[in-house]
Amino acid sequence: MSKHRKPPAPPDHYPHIRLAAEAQLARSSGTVPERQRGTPAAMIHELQVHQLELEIQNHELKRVQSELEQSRDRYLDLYDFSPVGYFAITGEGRILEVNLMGATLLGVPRSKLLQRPLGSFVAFEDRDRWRRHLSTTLPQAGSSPGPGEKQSCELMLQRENGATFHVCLESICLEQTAGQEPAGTGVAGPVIRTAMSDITKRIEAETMLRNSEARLRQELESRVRDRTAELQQINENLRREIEIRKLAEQELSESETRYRTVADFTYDWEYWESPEGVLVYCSPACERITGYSAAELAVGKERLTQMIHPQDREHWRQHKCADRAMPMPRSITFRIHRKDGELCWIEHFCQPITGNQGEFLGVRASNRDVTDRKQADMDLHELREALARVARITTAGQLAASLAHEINQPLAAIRCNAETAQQLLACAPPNIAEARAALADIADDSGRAGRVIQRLRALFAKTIDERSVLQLNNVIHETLDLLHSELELREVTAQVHLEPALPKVLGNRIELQQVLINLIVNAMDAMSGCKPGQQHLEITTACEVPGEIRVSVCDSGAGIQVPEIRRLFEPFFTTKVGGMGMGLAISQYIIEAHDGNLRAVNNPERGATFQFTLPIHHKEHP
Amino acid sequence: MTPETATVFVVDNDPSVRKALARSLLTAGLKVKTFASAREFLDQGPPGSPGCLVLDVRMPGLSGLELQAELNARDIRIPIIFITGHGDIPLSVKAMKGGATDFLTKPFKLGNLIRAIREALQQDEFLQASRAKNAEVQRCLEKLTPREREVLDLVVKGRLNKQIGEELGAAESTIKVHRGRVMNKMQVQSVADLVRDMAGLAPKHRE
Repeated sequence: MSKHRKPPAPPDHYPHIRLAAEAQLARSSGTVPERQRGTPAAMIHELQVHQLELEIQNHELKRVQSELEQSRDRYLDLYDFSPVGYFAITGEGRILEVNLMGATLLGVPRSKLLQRPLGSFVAFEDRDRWRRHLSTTLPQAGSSPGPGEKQSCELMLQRENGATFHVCLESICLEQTAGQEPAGTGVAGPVIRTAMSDITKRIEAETMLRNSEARLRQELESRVRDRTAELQQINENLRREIEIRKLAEQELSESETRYRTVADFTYDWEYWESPEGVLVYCSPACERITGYSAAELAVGKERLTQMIHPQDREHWRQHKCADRAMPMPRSITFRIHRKDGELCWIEHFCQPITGNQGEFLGVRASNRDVTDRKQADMDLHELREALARVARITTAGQLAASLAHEINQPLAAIRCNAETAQQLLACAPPNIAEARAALADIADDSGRAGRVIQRLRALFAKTIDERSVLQLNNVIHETLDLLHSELELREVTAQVHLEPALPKVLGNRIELQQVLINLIVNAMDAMSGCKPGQQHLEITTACEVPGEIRVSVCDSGAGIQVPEIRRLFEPFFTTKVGGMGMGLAISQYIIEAHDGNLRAVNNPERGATFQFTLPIHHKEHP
Repeated sequence: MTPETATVFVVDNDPSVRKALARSLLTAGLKVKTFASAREFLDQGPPGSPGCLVLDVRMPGLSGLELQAELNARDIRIPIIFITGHGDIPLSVKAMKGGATDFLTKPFKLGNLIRAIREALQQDEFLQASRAKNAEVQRCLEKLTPREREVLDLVVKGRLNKQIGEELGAAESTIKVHRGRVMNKMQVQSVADLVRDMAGLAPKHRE
């Protein structure tokens, strides 16, 4: 199409019609139109095309009209027979249009409804609502033109016969443009289209529902009130419980902190071992004592056992075996090798833990590093040992005269007999019988001298720290043998009253002999001022108190001055000229080391009695 | 008196020692009598025969030294040889001061003991002899008149007859007669013999 000419409006507006006309023409003529403008053929062709175009348009219009009519009828039908009432009303509420259903709803013929205000059918109590509905439906000042918002409301209407019914209105305002008016209304201004549906049944149902609901609600509310009160009470209780629990939890946490602090900051190494031998708790002090941290110790069950000195392990195992059986706190002392290899003495206290039902929960133990104390103990023990030995040697020195006498007697006899035997054999003829008798006497006397030396040697010996099961009656006899010549020289008569069925004790023979020597020599010294024949020494053994034996050494001397009795056992306390004052102190130390006790009392008549006890040895406790 | 007739008295509380000593001394040809204690020895009274005492120092009851003192007190003269199991100097000094012949520490050589015993027996023999002589002199002294005893004492002091006469207020001739009787009664030939006899007497008898 050329650009310099304005094309006619219709062909431009309906190009498809022109194309259809051209196609039809071509089919009927069978010619192809000349494309040159201005030629008569072209013009005829153009006219033919126009004619065909008009025919097509006419035909098309007829078809459209028929379609529209059908559509109008359909819509009218749809409109009039819709189950919903349709109204067109003015902004003031006058009815401009109404469909059949609308008239039926209001109970008034359609013709009589026109121009009547719809509000007149609204029940009195709903009039306000109606007016509000109307005003909200109308376009607001300043709002953009075009259909307004759809508004809906429910109203109660009243027919002229007084019957009421409920409807739901849905209205929309169609603001017509200037100069136009809604079809068939003949009025200017906004027109409101309203759809009215009967909702009486629903409202009734709703009302019924509401009523029953109200009843139900009432009941429910009363129940809810009761229940609420109940719940509030429960809540209150719960809240209180929670508060109490919170407090308890806080207390628990505080106490946990407190106990943990106590446990963690104990100087000793504390631990709790489960029945399976796993460490439940181990205080940090273990690092100070063993060099191993708590975490290092928690590895493996036998960690502690591995640390223990091999010589102490058996003792430890025996101790551990009794864990469950012994409900009492027990203690044991053993050595461990620290992480740095140092030897460390541990004093171990433990006690089984039981739950509320008495079930075994493991062992609670406390370990103290007693290396320093142990060392001091050992030093002290060595010192005491040395002192006891010095005291024995001193005693032996005091007894030297009588002991020398005791040895020299058999020696003198031996020498005489030996030289005599030589002479007897040198004679002609030799006196063999007498020489033999002399030699037999030599043998006897040398045995006797040997025994004295043996007893003496024991006194000088360094005590072997060894205890054996002893019959104390025998020890007393041995001691008296040793002191025999001293007693004889001092003209002391010794009487012994020994219990024949005396139970045995566990003790160190030499140490106990030392105590007896000390007590007997003291007794002799105490009696040295007595007249000849008045020196009586009495040694008694007895077993009167169950579990212990008693040994008494009783003299007939001057007795002990009352103020001195208490000081007797103090070291360096002496009443003798040249005495060291160690005898009784050492004797007491020895007896106490044997779990016994030593005491002194004055006799009712004269002299004093020194008495010591020793626990009986039971075979089952080796 | 010979050693063979003398008796060795052994006092020791130790039976082994007593038995051994008895055997040894018998073998050595000595006569032995043993006692278990000093008391036992005293109880038998003064030893009738000459001899010596072998005495243990330390004994229960009466000790050796106490027995020595007791014998001295009773004027029982017998040589004592002390034997001790534990001899110390103060003890031996005390024993020797008490007139002990010897002090032997056990165990002693048998030879030493026997030598000591023989010495003691010789001493005892001499003692016994001088004791007999003294008794003789004593008996002679008892025959003297008081005047004769006065003269004797002055003669023994070496006074001449003239000096004695002046001292006693008598004539020299009278003194000469007294002197003759004294020499006769005392059974001596010379003044030297008289002096020797008198010196042997204990001091109390000399006055």
